[in-house]
Amino acid sequence: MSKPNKLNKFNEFVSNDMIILKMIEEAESTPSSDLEEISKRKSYKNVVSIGEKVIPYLLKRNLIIWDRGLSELTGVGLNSLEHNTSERKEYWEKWAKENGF
Amino acid sequence: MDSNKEIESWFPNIIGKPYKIIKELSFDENEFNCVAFTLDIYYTYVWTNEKSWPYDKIPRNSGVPGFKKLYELYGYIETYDLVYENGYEKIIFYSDNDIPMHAAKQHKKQWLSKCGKYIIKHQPDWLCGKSEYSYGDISFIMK
Repeated sequence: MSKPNKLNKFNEFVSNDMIILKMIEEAESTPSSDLEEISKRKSYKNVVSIGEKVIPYLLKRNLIIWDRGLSELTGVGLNSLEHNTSERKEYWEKWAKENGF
Repeated sequence: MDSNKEIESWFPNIIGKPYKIIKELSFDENEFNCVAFTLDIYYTYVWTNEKSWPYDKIPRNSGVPGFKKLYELYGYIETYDLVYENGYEKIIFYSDNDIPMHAAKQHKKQWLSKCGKYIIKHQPDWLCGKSEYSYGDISFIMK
């Protein structure tokens, strides 16, 4: 019973990856026009609650919807009252490069 | 998820209706929201909690009346029917229990909305309703 350790680990990795992506896609599936409202939804909070592990996934999505989530996870980011969505997206692209993502 | 299934999961009243997906935006293109779309702005969201909101003229927490003022700032005036009028681009604003929800625009004789990553053609009432994602009711019309 204890022999297929590697297989178990591999399956665990694939499964986690797929689960995280599914959670992200679920949170992104919304017709809401308010980014703040979106970030308060349960599906969104579930993704952010994964913690630092989800940061590379969110950066790769490169969607403005994840601006607030990334700010919460990293402690940095731009204020939506002072920077438009294009500027905030550019900020995360730059931040990803500077931080090795 | 299939695009049509996703849209129909948001708006139960659209199921079985001849709505059309005009465009599915790529991640790079999807930088604006429905209100921005009605104002032909394609690089940012327009909402009360965004830089684009003219907070020096309209308070950020002014609800549905604030959005009406926003359109007035852009030169629109209130109207009370949805009939196409040559030379005008009408805008419908939706709210649910006075919570601002959505805006759609009339382009030529078609109603268009930016919903999530989709630009769709629809009739005004197909997005109405009380489900989790539906936009409530029409609160005002501008032209």
